[in-house]
Amino acid sequence: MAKTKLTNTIRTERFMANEMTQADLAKRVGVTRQTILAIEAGRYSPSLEVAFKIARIFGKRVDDIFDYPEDITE
Amino acid sequence: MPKQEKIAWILGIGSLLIASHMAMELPGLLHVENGLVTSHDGLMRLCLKVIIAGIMFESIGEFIRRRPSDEVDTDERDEEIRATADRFGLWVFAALVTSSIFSLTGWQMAGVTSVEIPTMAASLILMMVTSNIGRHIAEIYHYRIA
Repeated sequence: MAKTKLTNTIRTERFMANEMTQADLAKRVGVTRQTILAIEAGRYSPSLEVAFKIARIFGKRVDDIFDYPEDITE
Repeated sequence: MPKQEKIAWILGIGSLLIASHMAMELPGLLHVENGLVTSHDGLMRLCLKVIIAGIMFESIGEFIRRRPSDEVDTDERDEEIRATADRFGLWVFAALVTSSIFSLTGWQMAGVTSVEIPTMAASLILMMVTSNIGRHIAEIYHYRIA
């Protein structure tokens, strides 16, 4: 599993949501805390389903949370 | 340490112990006689012991892995890591089989003209256990480093 080019604002969103812990977010999404940690650190690209779940928890759209750099042509 | 990684460590160490036990016992059970690698009676017993131990270890690991729990302990990332590790294990196995075929040339040069089936079966089992170690190492690598 290569490091993903996908960036995200999960850490900021957690902070804004009453400093929600990774464990709380993991429980609500239905994944392990290690997966949330890996997504936040950019070491893992979540599936669309998980990405939508994370975005909905913060009341945002997927592209508000996740971003993929436009200059990458691969 | 997540539950899945703990299981990978336990199974990896278990496979390593099985493989090292087999690798240590194997040379004593084989001898070359008139250009033929022959085995002692204990070889099939060793193979059986290794197969049973391997199946037992993996079954216990699978049982712990699938045991229902209140918390989420397996998700899509774990599945992906397992699939990647399985692929790596298969590559290791393929590499070992290929290299053993080529090593037969070396055996021929050493004066061995043929190898009996139990010896080949034992080598195959050793390769399977070794590739299993590779699989668990790949799992641990993806949990720890990647």
